[in-house]
Amino acid sequence: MSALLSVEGIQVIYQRAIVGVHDVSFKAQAGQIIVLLGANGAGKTTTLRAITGFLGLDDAKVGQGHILFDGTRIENLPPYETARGGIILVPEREKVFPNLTVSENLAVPVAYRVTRSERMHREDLVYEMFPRLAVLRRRVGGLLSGGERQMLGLACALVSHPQLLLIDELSLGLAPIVLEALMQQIVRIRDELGIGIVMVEQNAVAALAIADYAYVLENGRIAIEGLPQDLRKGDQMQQSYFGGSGASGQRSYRDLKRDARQGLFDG
Amino acid sequence: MSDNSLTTSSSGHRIHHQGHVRSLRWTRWVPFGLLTLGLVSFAFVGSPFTLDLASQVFLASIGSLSLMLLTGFAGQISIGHAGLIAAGAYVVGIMSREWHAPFWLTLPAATISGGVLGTIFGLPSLRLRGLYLAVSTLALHFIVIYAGGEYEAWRGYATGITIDSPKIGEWEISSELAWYFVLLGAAFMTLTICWNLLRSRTGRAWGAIRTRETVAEALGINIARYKLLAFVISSSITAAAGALFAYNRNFVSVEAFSLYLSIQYVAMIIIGGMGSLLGAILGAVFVTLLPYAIEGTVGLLPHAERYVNELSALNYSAFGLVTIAFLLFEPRGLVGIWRRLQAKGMSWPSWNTH
Repeated sequence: MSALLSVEGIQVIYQRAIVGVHDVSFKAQAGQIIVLLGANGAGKTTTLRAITGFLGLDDAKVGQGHILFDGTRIENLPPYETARGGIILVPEREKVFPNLTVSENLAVPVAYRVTRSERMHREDLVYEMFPRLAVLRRRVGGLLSGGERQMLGLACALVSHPQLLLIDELSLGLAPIVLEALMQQIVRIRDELGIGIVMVEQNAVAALAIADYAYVLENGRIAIEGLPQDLRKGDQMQQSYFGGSGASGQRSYRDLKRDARQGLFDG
Repeated sequence: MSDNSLTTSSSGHRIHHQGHVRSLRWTRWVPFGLLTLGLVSFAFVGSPFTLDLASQVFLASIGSLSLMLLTGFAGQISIGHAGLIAAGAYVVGIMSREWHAPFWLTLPAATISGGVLGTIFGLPSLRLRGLYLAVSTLALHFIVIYAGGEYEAWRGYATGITIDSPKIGEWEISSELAWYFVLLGAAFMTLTICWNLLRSRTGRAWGAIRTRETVAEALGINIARYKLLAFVISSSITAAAGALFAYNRNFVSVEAFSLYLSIQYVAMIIIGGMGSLLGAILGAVFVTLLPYAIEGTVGLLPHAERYVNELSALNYSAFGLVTIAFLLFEPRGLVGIWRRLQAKGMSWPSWNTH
């Protein structure tokens, strides 16, 4: 079975000179949650931007490799085209329109040809999934709390009927209990809607708990991949990601610096 | 995924979108009716001078509504507004001078040329933002004024172009009363167009672009298209206002379209209240009437004749001070003040969006 999304050896170059991502390959199927882990600057967000087409904003582009979505090459397409094609990104920080009400926020992403009744129908469905938003539907986005914004971000993505949902840092700034509830909603989205989900996460514990498959990025490359239960046990993972309670013990600050330097210069 | 996978997870749960709001709706038309009655009866009690003043307010309202659409709703700054008004006026001037074209040809032509200019000068907005965009729209102003001036010099209209009043059959629109109703109608039409646009998908897309451009794009909004659309619609309306202005004054000349006019329009939307159609109208009323209010006040002073020469300087400085005062003390503009009064118990319409 061909994958819904297939990233094949992409290299991302910033400003024609700096290599941000060296050689990243991974696949995502429909009805699957894929998690991309990695430290800051590992290339996770850059990879998401390569898929959605947002690289252009930073004068970057995919230099080598391909991104296939449903069998079609999509690398270097503008963001609104990938979005209309069915790939919706829930961005890392700003994700709601502060000047529009919740209900208006939900109307923005719905495609032009969709009728009013269908729009209302989709709105009702996300209210069912996030009842809190139904209560708040006349409130402007700027007055929502962090958790409510995250819900609205997800809801906005869902009303546009994506085939593939990309979520950048769901856990950012959320209390553990709020995050837990949202993670459960993501599992529900996967199970009920059968769409593919790619999550970029710092919170490895929470993400691996719901993942079907995970990749760990390091210095713009896939360092480790595997099933979540294997990754949680793996030595290498402990070492490179959780800060080294694994067999080789704590890594010194100097080691970390050396690694970082290598990452910077070996492009 | 198929299009109906969201649909299949549906259960009986329904939220009523309209509900009780409808039963209250008719009361909103009461103040509107009173306003209409007031405007119509004013036509029959006002002197030619006050009717002309009202006509100027209506013209300014059309201009400020179109700028509000662009800046207050779509978030694109423009200080080339006077250039577009000039473009509309010149299309009327040139067409009626050269070919004796009637108004039902010149008016659409002015609107279309406004749209074309809007497209060209909207293009920088795809790359530029804020101050840089403002400067690029300034170029529009100078190009139009230069072209207009060249035309005047070429044809030998040293002082400007005179234009005949528009005629419908035998009836000539020339009296203050006729213009009052024509421009009132045009202003009302502009308000209706803006109001409907903002409630549509286009209005929501503009609202989204204004605050979170990248999020809007991630959700499938074609940013370039909607930005250009804002420029085209706003510029068309502005040029149409310019055409009406030319007919109303029976005269077109570069002097009428200084940079100061652009700044006045920007001031109207700031003073009125950014992001509100009502604000655009209140700002137009305020900025148009301010010089007359100052003149009237000065006239009340003892030895008023001594200050006559100082009036224009006084007007400029008062205009500047008022604009700065609003930016500092009431950034939400006259609409902000209005809302506060409303909250204190005045039952007035709230007929602006967002």
